[in-house]
Amino acid sequence: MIRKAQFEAMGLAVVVVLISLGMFILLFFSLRSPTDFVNRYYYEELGQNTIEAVLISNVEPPTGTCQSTFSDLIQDVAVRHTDSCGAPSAELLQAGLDKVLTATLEQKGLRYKFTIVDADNTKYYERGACDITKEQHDTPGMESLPFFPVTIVNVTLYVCSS
Amino acid sequence: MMEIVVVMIVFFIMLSMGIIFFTQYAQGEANKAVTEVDRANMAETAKIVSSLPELHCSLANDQGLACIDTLKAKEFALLLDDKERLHYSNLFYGFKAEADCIYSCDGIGSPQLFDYTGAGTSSQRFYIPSAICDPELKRCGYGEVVITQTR
Repeated sequence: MIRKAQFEAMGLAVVVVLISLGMFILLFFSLRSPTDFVNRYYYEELGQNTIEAVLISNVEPPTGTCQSTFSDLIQDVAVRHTDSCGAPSAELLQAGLDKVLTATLEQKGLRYKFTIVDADNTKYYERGACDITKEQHDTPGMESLPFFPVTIVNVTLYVCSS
Repeated sequence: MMEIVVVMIVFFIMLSMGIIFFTQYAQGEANKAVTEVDRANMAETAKIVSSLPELHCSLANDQGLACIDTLKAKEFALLLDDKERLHYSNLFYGFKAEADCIYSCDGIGSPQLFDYTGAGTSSQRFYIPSAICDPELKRCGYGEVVITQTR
């Protein structure tokens, strides 16, 4: 009788050990967060490439064509205080960047924060709902435009994880 | 005797359930790994395309990696039409790339760079922001290089 009970207890113990082992393996695999190198590459490159491409692109004026680039408009607004392409540079900058960001990042459903700020913290442009102090994001894309001796303007784009 | 048999039956039932569950889990993971490898290949191809000197702008104010020269792009597309160019067909097999101008595109256009896709049914896309510049017009539009992979 004692021997039989011992066998049963051993059987149950084996079952319990096996189930525990199975659950441990399952938890080990499921709780590991996969490192998504592609997403990291994409978000990091996306920020930097977007800024580089924007700065050298020409602006679309209300009428005709315009030889000024976004970089020229930033210089107009921050340093020269002049207009380009027959319209106020600040308005052209705002309208142009709004159009680019709407047609690209926003259309793809990406969350971001795009800012143009000078060394005195004067903001020339800001768009995007991503709160960079709270939300997770990778290294931002950034370009510094040195308009010496007046100021340096930093163009920054954070792409936040959706 | 009866109790031992019951314990064994319970054990084997649980073992079978565990094996079935684990097999499904492993299959899901394998599928995820295949997708991830595809995406990694795509990112790698995007990286290669965006760093091809054959396509880069070369004017003084638009030098940089995030810029496609439309004249070079047209020549490059003609070059790659020749299927004997094994270097490129091996490099980009299964992929298609086009420069899609989105903003300020007046007179610039959206040149196709290459198309090595076959008759696959599923496709996924990867976008690289890029200025698209015409050295004759001396102006650039904002756009994206769109890489499409077909399987």
